[in-house]
Amino acid sequence: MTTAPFSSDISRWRRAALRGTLSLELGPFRATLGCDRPSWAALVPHLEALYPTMAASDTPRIGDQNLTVRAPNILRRYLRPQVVGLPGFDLPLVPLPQRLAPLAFEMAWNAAVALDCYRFLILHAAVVRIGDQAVIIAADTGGGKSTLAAALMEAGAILLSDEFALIDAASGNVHPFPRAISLKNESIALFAATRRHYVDTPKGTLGYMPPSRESLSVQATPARIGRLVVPHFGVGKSAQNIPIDPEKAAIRLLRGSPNYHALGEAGFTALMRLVTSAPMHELHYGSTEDGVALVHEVCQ
Amino acid sequence: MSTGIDVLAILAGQQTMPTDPVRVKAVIDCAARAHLLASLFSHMRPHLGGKALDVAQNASIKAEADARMLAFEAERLQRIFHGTGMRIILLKGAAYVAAQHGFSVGRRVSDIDILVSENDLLAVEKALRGAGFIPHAHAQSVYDQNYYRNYMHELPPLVHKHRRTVIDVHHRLTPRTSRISVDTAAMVAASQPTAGGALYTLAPIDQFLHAALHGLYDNSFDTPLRTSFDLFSLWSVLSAADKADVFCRAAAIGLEVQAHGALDLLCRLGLVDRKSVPARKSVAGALAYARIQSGIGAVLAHGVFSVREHWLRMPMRLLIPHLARKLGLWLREKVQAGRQSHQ
Amino acid sequence: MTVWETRPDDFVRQDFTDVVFLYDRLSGDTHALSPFASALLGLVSEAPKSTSELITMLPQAFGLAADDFPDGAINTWIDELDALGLLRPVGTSA
Repeated sequence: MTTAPFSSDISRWRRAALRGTLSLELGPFRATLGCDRPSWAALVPHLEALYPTMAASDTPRIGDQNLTVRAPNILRRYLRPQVVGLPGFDLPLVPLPQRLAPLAFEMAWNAAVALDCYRFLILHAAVVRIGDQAVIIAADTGGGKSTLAAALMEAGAILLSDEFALIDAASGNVHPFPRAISLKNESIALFAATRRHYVDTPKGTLGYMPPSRESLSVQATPARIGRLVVPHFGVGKSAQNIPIDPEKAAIRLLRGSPNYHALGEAGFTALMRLVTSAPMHELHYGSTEDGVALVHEVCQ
Repeated sequence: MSTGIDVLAILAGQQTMPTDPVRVKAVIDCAARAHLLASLFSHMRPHLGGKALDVAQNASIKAEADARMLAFEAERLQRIFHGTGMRIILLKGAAYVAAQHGFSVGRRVSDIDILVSENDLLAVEKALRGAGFIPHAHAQSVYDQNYYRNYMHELPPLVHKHRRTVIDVHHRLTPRTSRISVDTAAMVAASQPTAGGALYTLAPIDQFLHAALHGLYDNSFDTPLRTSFDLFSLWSVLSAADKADVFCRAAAIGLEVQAHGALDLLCRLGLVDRKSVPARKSVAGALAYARIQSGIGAVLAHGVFSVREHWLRMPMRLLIPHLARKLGLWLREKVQAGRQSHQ
Repeated sequence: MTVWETRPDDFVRQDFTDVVFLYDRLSGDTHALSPFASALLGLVSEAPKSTSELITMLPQAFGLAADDFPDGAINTWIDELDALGLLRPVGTSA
């Protein structure tokens, strides 16, 4: 049962996707993907640009996620064409215009991980590796987690994940899941490496930045978590680093976890170990450079 | 052979997991859709590796969370009804966990169902509300409240304001308006205390008969595989004496047709030997079996089945206004949505 | 007068400066307890206690007088622990 890089044989993957048996592997996950023709056509430039080396296979295999990207009904395949990204279970979805099939794919994979994965403690966060330690960049409304992760990657950090920290409860280590970084509106222009742009999406303009070669080369290597940071970007703010007590860190992290409760005692033990072993810092800054400098400062 | 039937045979220990990877994927996907994945894996974990082990772990962690929820809610019910003298009977999933049935390991559940005496109904509702249960958002309108109270066999569902668990309180096992008349009182009288003693479950034979009623003649046939697995499991744990007595007991409480339907289905699925039980061929058994099979037969059975359910649950003069009202609401929403999109 | 008991074997705790995190194996819930609520649970863990015993013993455990606590505060905490399933009246368990 062999896999090949995504860019190696697009026509083979197309046949598999239309049959619903394309499998894609990234980090600890294998997703099965099915598409209709127009959705595949809209999706494939996105996958080629952002995930050229992702391991693909066309034989039906057990997967962690079963994703479908297709028109919501046969009419909408051709008339004012629309697309939905189905995560493999019932979820109320708003159809998108067909040109946004890549968004439907990214959102479906995120929903499938956030709502149906229990073998990791999941935190809503970006993760980078600096030296041998992973830094969790916890999401806080409007905090700028993805922008900070992208800036850190440009400054030499290894991106482990843009959206989820996948923590193995037994070891406490974080597993990389290097999906493309999703950047919004003003942030897009900051990064020359951004590949695909989508205008007029429900979230405004979106741009995706591919994970670096280093990120992909360590995607199977879990990392020890050394620091937790909560970014708070604000125009005109001066750089400031506020240490957060572990008990408050615990509350913040579990508020942003979609599956903490389902994990039971394993989740509790992992969370307590995390907040007592990795210090949390709230970072306030008015420029991305300051943000990067603050992260490097707290990692000393 | 359909994949669904393979899944049941594997669950029943009558067939082993296929070795061909394409079949393995089909079996696992089918079990996942039927919420039976954790059950499927619960007795084959030691033999798994690679991605199958990942998927098995994922399913079993979620199922353990469900079992924890049921056990804790049962403990809460003991606390709420302590000293009231009311007999609270756990039904379905909560009962299987309380009875520590092996097959409850890995069984996915969402709601807690309890049966209480009709005389206690208002007191039960009051006690639950006092303990933090509030009407479910889906059943808050006056119309919905009246619909449940007047025509159905349960209170409108209640949800705990913090824990978000949903409890359905039944005082009979079929709607007031149903053509099936079940001797609920006889089933209540035969109910048995749980291991702890403060709550009750139906007698094992009545659990099987209730599952037959609920699974084949009520509205839960959305998950035919799971219903079939429940029926098989509940049948398997019965004593030889109970098995011999099943049609007698069924006749006594008004569920003879349902007993034949359930056993006929299990025979069609090859899970019970037809020579071992005098089950009559049954329409419901045939329809249920067709739903598990793939292909056009399943589609036909699906359509027939949903008509049957409603027809059984409500006499036509009640059904028509109900559907008309639902349709009216739907139309109104569409019209409003249309207006908004033109503004 | 209600006599309270608890299930110490079901609890996993992690102590911080002003708060105790308590994981309950039965419910799967994580609770953040104040030092007073945690002490109440500790007193009942040693042996079942009545409400009036707890009202006497809790201030003593902190070297405080009973009237250092607002009226009814300890009763409220007991009720909250009961509602969360962490305390229960003797005789209600399985």
